Amino acid sequence: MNVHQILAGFADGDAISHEALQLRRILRKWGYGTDIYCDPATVSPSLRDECRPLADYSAAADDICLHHYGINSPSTDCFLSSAAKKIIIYHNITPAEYFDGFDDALAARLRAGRSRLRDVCRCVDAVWTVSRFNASELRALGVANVQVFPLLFSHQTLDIVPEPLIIAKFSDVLKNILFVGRIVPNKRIEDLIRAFAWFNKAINPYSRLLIVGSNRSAPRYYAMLRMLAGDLDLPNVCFEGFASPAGLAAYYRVADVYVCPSVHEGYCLPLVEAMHSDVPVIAREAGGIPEAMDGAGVMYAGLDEVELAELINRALSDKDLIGKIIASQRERMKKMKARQTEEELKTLLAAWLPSSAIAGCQTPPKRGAQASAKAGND
Amino acid sequence: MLTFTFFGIVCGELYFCGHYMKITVAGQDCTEELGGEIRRKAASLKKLAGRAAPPEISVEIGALALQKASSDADYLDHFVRLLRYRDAFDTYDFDIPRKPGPFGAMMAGIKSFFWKLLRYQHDRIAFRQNLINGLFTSAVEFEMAERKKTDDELDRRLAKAEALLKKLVDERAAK
Repeated sequence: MNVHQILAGFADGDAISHEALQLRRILRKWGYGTDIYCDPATVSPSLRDECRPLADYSAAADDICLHHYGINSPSTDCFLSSAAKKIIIYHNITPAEYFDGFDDALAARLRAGRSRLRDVCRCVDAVWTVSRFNASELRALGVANVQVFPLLFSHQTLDIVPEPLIIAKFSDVLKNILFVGRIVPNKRIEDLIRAFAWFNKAINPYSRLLIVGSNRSAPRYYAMLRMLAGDLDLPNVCFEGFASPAGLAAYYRVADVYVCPSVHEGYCLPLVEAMHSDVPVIAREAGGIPEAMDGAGVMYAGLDEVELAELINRALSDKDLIGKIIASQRERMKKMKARQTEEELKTLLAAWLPSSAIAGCQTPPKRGAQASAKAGND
Repeated sequence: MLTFTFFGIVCGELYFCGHYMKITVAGQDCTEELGGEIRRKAASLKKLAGRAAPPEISVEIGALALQKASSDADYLDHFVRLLRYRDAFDTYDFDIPRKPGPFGAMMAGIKSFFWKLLRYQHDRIAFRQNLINGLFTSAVEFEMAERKKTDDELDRRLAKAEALLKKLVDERAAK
């Protein structure tokens, strides 16, 4: 019996790809034949050895196929035509309106992804989501029996030696305000830049804004942000681009506060990463963000740019407030680390896995081991 | 419902002149205490900031005008239009941040002196760079104009060919 995963894209620093790798690690530990399948055109060069081409995918009736769904792509058709039992993991689809004018082709794919969402969910054996927010979206569409399997977080990816060059570059007297995430319109990074303009010009000129994340997803939006930073005369806005795990650990290390102005998120993993790194987090209350925060850090709604600048100032200078924020975040991380991920997964897969596997996952099934060895990682 | 001159609390949510706000810290609603204070400070900052406030740019030519683009092509039109306003940089004086105290004043004075000393060289470099930037912007505009001319010509010929085809089909159908 094999438990394979099908993805629309497979990239470094991507939350869905990260989740797929975590699931594969667990499934391999349990002894299943398990691989990640993806269209080679959408795979990061560094991850080519970690997955297999979509064209190679085949399945028997007693196999399980997990499909991570967040956009319309050929991978969904491959998943739907699979002979295996089908489980869809819904990671949310960004509303296409955010991309209108910034990337028409991507907006069209997002619209297509959302328009076929209900039909896709009705053709599968089980529907999982990574947050209650995503589950509520599906229920509103009339999809029944939605189960929540919160996004997996592996703190080991951040518990590494941070990139020394980044530490050396940004460990100075300036206060570092950090944002981590793909540079895409639904993140509303322009709101953060405008707030930073007030913070830097009127409150504390000894400050910088670090924007870390891939700028290839929406280059036109990225160009707009750079233009905005120029308009506001902000040389201290640093667009750092994509960061490796060591680089990411370094940015969290030098950060004094993490701010997320995003208006649409299915979950938002960087918030958890910042909390793990003991960086005070300020996030807009939107989408799945309250679930990722889970009562920790600071959440806001309805602030304009000057008010957000003031809130950032408080989170940087008020020691009592900082203490309260950090204590709540540590509590959140304690809860997160105590999570029994494997037990949760076992419960969700109980209907399809052999009873021996459910009992303790000690008996590795032999079928599919070949495929596993071929991809040979972990 | 509590109502103050400017602030109002309705169902636990803070409003200011009809503007909604909410702040939670460690899961507790701090809208009233923290939110009210932040709003007051922000309001006074807006009044007092003066020269320290971020530059104000007309909505028509500000970067955020790009958000109005309805398609990729529309974005490009907006972008090149906005680029024309930004293809040069100036060497005007600028605010030098200074720390409090005599040491801060001395450092600011030194930085100011060096800026005055080096400005002439900066003017020369700025002149050359702006010349290149301006020529590049013109090149992009010429390229776009040429492409539009070609597209218009192709559209015209295509329309002509379609009309001819329709006429032939109609004639064949009539026979």
